[in-house]
Amino acid sequence: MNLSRAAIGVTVAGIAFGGGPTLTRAQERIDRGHPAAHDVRLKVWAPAGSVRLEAWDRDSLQIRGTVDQGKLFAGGGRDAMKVAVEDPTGANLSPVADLVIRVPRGAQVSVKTVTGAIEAVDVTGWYNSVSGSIRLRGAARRLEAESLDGDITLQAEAPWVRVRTGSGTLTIEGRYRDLLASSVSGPIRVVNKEVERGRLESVTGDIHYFGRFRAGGSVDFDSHSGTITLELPAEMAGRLDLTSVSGSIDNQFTADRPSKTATGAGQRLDLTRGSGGVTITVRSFKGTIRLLRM
Amino acid sequence: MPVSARSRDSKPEAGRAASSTPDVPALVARVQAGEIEAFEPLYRHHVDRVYALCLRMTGHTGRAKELTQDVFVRCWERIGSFRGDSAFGTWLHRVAVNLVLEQHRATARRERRVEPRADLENLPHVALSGTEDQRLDLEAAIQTLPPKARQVFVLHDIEGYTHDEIARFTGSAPGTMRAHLHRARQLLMKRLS
Amino acid sequence: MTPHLRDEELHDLVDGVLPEAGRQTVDAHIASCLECSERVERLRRLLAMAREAPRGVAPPDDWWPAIRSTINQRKIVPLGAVPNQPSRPWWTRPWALAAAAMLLVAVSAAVTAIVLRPPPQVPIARASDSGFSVPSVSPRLATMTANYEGLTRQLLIDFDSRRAALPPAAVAQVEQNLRVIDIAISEIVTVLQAEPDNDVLLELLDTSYRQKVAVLEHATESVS
Repeated sequence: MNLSRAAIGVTVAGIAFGGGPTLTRAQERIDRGHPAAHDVRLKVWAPAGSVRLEAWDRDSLQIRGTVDQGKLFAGGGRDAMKVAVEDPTGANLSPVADLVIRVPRGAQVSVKTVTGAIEAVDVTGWYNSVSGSIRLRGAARRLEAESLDGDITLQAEAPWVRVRTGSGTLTIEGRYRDLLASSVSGPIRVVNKEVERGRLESVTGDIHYFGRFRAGGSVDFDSHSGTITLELPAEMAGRLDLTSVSGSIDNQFTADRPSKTATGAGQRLDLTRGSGGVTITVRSFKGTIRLLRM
Repeated sequence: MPVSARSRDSKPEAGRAASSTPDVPALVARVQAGEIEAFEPLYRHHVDRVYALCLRMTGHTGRAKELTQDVFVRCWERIGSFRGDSAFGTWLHRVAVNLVLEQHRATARRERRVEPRADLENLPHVALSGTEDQRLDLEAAIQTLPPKARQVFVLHDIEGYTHDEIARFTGSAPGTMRAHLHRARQLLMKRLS
Repeated sequence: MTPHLRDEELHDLVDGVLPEAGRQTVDAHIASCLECSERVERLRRLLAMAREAPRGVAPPDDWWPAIRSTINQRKIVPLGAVPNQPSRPWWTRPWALAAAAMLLVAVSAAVTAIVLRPPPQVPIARASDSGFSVPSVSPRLATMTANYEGLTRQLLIDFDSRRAALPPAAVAQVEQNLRVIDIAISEIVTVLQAEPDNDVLLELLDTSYRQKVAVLEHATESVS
């Protein structure tokens, strides 16, 4: 096989750098490991770029990736560690890092970015970004995610979840027993296998819930002006208490018709089906409330 | 379990240089008569408490130093108004609280709450014992609180003042003080978890 | 299943000031709710740590010489405890002067908060600690408004002191979010004037206030 000189040069460079993409002068490749307790508490600060966390079955932390125009600092002990990407020169650079961090399965993380995207698989923790997107998958003990205007996507199973965004889109699929989902103007879409206790709220964003509820549970839906849509299983038992102060209720779930509120400006509907079941309370100031059958 | 109000009477820390507790009432009487020499043992007996308060309330060692000195100067100025209705340490503590809050309100610029970058490199690689580690964490976490939340937490949960007392110090409604306290606790629990 | 403890209940429980009427319900809930019992435990641990915090901290230096020097330089003479002196007019007493100063500061703080953002078009004066007079409102609304307005005012000040550390687009988004929420609050409060005890409206108002606090807390935490 004949190789051009250029190809040979690239191949040599590739071998010299471990076979990965060629680094720019300001880039630093990261490949570090640290021993860590199985339930280590980890804080990560990476303002821009991306951070991906994965759980694994080892008592150690592995950090791989690249840092551009900055430096990665890591410190702490087996029980508590911090990883941060910063500009140590004080020259006001904007460091960018693309990191993959593997953590013990029992770890609890706290991740903060400004624009950096966050992704985590099977990792319990608190994820916070100003405008980066957050995507959480897998199984976790608890998940908390906040982004000012980034989208948040959950495709996970966790008993306890708290997610907030301002104008981003919340997409929540999975199984969550205790769920809080909140947005200011962003839409909230939930496809849930079951929820026992929940609160879904938005100011002007629409809320769309498709799923089941656990018997004996209690779920509240609040919106100021967005449309709240509940797609419910036909066999659902429980009580639905719906009020739109100055908006309307569109019931396609049963034949019941809403009545006017005391002032006449809005509508109310109180349904009870079967015994036991879930208690669902829906409140809207001036939006529409819709009940549909799954 | 109710949070009992802690005594705010100053007690010397164990192991401090003051090997015997001074006769505070006698010293106060002498200071009220103008004897500055009698003020020094009062200073030495109470400075730790005052400094701790100033440090926690401001989150800033430089300002805590200035305020501690200001507290004692003010104490000297106003000691004539101390009538023995409470322990001297209690009265002094209130002087300190009032001064710290006055100075805070008079400050034009709020301090930025900045997590020192240096601590990332200085983190010990061997974990400290659980209790000491937690205590350091608490003090550091208190310093990261927003000013109002920090003040209310320090005054209520560390120093033992009631909501009404704190409201009188700050001129705010007790309900507002409760909201600040709850927020402080929530933030601390989050940071310490 | 009863809802989780509200934050207020949690703190009142741990502080020992929860009204007896609600105590049984709270105790029963904690007995069956792992999350809330953990919250109670975490708060108790925090308060225990606070109570055990050292009473004093040794200063790094001996400041007595500086203090003595200041006293001597200013030639400050301590006011002697002189009994039977005629009392000064009350308005010249330190506490009255301090109270007047506090009122001025509270008023200026309220004005600062208004300057930071355009105020919502609320036809009702805030039942806050600013000392403004308040038309009659339901006690529950007054308490809710006082608590939240005081808290959000402080959060706005915190946010304003940190906004330079956020990207400009993020600051603009925070302000936009706050405007959306404030409009919602205004609209709800307007209707509440006619229906002050409407539970649905009060719950919606509480939700809006909580979201405002959450937006501001998130914005300030993002740069801490």
